[in-house]
Formats: sequence, C-alpha cells, structure tokens
Amino acid sequence: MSEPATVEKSAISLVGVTVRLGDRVVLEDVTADIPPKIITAVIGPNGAGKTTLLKVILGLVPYEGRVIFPGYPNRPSFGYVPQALGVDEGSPLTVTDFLLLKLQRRPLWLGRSRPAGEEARRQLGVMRAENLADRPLGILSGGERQRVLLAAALAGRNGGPDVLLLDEPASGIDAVGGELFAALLAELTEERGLTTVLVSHDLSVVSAHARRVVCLNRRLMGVGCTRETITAETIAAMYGRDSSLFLHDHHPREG
Amino acid sequence: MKGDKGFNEQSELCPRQNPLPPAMFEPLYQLLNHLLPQALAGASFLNRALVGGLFLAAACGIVGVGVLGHRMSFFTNAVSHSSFAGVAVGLLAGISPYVGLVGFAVLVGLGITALRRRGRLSGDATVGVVFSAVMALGIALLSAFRGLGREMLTYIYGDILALTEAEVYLAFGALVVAVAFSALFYNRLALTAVSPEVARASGVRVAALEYAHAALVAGIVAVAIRAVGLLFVTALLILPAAAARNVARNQGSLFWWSAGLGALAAVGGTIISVYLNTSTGATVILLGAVFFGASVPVRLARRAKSP
Repeated sequence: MSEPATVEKSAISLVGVTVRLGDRVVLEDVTADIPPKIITAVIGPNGAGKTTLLKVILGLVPYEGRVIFPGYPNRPSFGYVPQALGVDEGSPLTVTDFLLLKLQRRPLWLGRSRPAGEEARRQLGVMRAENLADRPLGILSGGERQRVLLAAALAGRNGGPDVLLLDEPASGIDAVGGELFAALLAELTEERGLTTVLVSHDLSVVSAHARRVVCLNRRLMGVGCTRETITAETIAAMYGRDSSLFLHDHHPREG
Repeated sequence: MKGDKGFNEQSELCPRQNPLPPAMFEPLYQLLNHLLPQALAGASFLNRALVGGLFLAAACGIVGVGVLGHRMSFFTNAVSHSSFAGVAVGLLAGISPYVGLVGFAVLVGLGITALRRRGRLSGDATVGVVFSAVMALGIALLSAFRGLGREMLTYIYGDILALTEAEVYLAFGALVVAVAFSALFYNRLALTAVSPEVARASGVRVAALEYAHAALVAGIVAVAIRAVGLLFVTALLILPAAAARNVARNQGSLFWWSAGLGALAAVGGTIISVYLNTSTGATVILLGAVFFGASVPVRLARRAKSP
C-alpha cells in the first residue's frame, strides 16, 4: 500500500515489516511511508502493535522486512517519549540527572559537566519545566512527566533529534492538558522541522493535530490524511463492527 | 568461623612460583590495624579480611546501584545459587573450583539475560526456572560425588577470615573492574533502566549493554561468594544500594553512598565480629541491614520537609 501522493521524499519507509514474538505475530507485512516534518499518528486498539512499530523504527526489536530513511543522508537521530518509565518513587534520580544521562559522557558520579547542564536547563526552559529540575523523576505528576520527557527527547548534543517518536503521549494527562500538549507538539514539529510519529488510541488528539494517520491492527488498515483515513469503515475494521465514530469536540454535554 | 584447611589447599589461586608484590596493601593493613583490639593487632588473617572485605563490599556496593536500578535482585540470587553447580563442575573437570564457580556464574547470568530478552515468560519467571535448574544440577552433582560436600560448606557460608593474599588481590581486581565499568557505562546503564527505548534512541546499544552488565554482576557475585557465602552475597549487593537510595539526593551521589556504605559495613562488621565473637559474614550483613534501617527515617524526614 505505497503512496505516491507526497512530492517530498518520505522520511521513514517501512517495507513489508513483520514482527514475531515467539510464534505470535505482532505486526504483519506493514508497508507505510511516513512523510517528513509533519505529525503522523499511528492509531489502533490495544495490542495492535503500535508501540512495536515505534520499536521497529528505533531498531529495538528484531523484524523481517525493511526500514529505510530516504529523507536523510545517514540514519537520522531520534528522540523518544516512552509511555512507561522504570523509576519508582524511591529513586533519587532527579529531572536534571535524567537529561544529563543522555547529554553527558562523564559518569554522573564524577560530577556534572557545565555545557550539558546548560543544555538541560535550556530544554527544561522550553517546556516550562525549570522548576522541576531538582525534583525526583519518580514523583512527578502525569503532565509534569510528559513535559520532562519531551524536554529530554528534544535535548541532544548535536542540536536535537531529526525524528521524534512518542508512545501514547496523552495518557495520564487530563483532556485540557492533552490538548495543550498536542498544540505544543505541533508548534515544535513545525518550528524545528521534526518528523514526529505519535502512537495513540485517542482519536480526538489525533484529528486535531496530526496531518497524517496510519491505522493499525496488527496489519495496516489504512494510511492517509486524517480526514479521509478516519472513516467509519476503517474504525469498524480496527475496533470491531459495533464501534462507531464519535468525534468529541471537548464541549461538555449531558448524558 | 574457622577456615577449612582442605579448602585452602585447593583454592590457592596463584601458584607459588608467581609471587605477588607483598607490600602493595601494607599501608592499608597498617591503617586498619589501629581499629583492632590490642591482642589481635597484627594478625595477618584479620588484615586480609579487613582489606579484602573492604574491596569486595565496595565493588558490590557499586554494582548494587545497577542491580537495584534494573530490578535484578532475584537475578543475583539465581547466580549465587548456581555456585553449587559451578564449583562441582570445576572440581570434576579438574580445573580450580574457583574458575568453575566464576565461569559458570557468568554463563548463567548471560543465559538468563538471553532467555529474558527473547522469552515469552516474564523476567522473574525466567530467573526462577534457571534458578531451580542450576540449583538441582548442583545438588545432583554433589550427591553423586560424595567427596564434594565438605567443599561446598565454604561456599554456602563463606569465610572472610580465611582469605588468602591472592584472594585479596582478586578482590582488588573486582573493585577495579566495577569502577572501570561504572566509569564507562554508569550513565547509559541508568538511562536504560529508566527506559530502554529512550536509551536506544540516544544511541545506546541496549542489548550489548545488558549482556555486559549481566556478566559483570555475575562475576562480582561469584568472587564475593568466597567472602560472605552464597546465602549472603545478594544482601551485600542490595543493602548498601538500598540504603544509599534513601539518603542520596541525586544519581551521582548514589554511587558514592552505596560504595561507602558497603565498605563501612565490611570493615565495621568484621571488627565488631572480632569483639563479639560472632560470625563475620553474618555480622557484616547485619551492619548493612542496620544502615538500611537508619536510612529510612532520613528519607521520611526529607520527604516531610519537601512534599
């Protein structure tokens, strides 16, 4: 299902990608192009292989098929916003530490490097998260955590990443927070020329800000522009016959 | 705990024709001598226990930071219990039991990591399966060859007071390796613990790092078994790091707290055991547990101050 519609070379091309975990097929023969410098949303029900698709792009899971990056001379650099973090409340790892783990080569037990510290402060500033700098990462609220994770994803020794991958960025934030986060993401994508791929089961965030959608339920169910792809048929194919399209517009109503 | 003569003969690591520089740790011996009761000052077995224990516990404290971060407590338990099989294989193959122990432990560590990475079982179930299998293998080998039983006691309880000069050097080597690994990989290892995806996106080779880390932990565990025994070795890794998490204010100081508390527990525990005439290994671990207990109020007080 290739798409000749885009004039520009696609940023990421998946060609016949299949992922098996044991004898379970998590992704089956997925072929899709992800265009550069816009937000692409990967949507689908739980267990559809959305996170696995991100891991394939990162090269974190073994797969059959090919993943190429036609839009970049070399392998692009990545920023990643994970859904889950392996820190608990008791961990002394602070927000600044977290950014420095990525930014500085010197082991943290030999002290913080000044340039890395400045870059960390700058990125936290962009996300309006300077006040969180010395807080332990494990005790942040959902919204705070998303801002910090985005700051970390955008921080880099060489001017930040080319490709930004986000796994369920709207989970753990309320509707208003999610909307703000999505708007911020759209602004950053445009400003920095990022190729942004986000995974979501929440169609409202998607239809508001993503310019392109990949519908996934183990196999590819549809690819295209937001409005033409999110149709009743695709939804039914992904989530089952009984589901129907319900675009909530964030105005409270009764019932 | 008295040294087992049969063991000492067999566990001589370096042959006599390859003498070690005898004076290397002399200043440390002199320093720690001041802490001993008059009657025992200058006893060379105590000097070796103090210095060897200091090196091993500091190494364990350093490695323990990564063990807690990556939730590998149960992993270290499985590796330490593989020492039955390792020692038996080492003895039966006619190589040193020590080489068998360390080699087998590293293989078990790598094996668990491989299974966990591609397996469908959850991480702790994988460890549980390997744990039972290697433990059973060890017991079976020991029961088939009756002569091995006595040898094993040293590995169950350990004997820090029976450390040889060569083993003090080995302990120093373990500390050097732990520090070197941490100098190179501390940041990447911590980042991988928080999120392997973020680490991978930042260019960390996650798989290679996890294998290297598993081998390091298994190797340090195996070396430390000689001093505190397979029952206590996990505690030597976990207690200092767990206490350090409660008092450290950031990821950098966590390293120093963990190494320091480990070393303090080893030296303090050994000296206390001399005064109280208690088992040295157990006293070291108890002191580590006391440190952990003392660290909890520190954490609670800090949390109450800044919610």
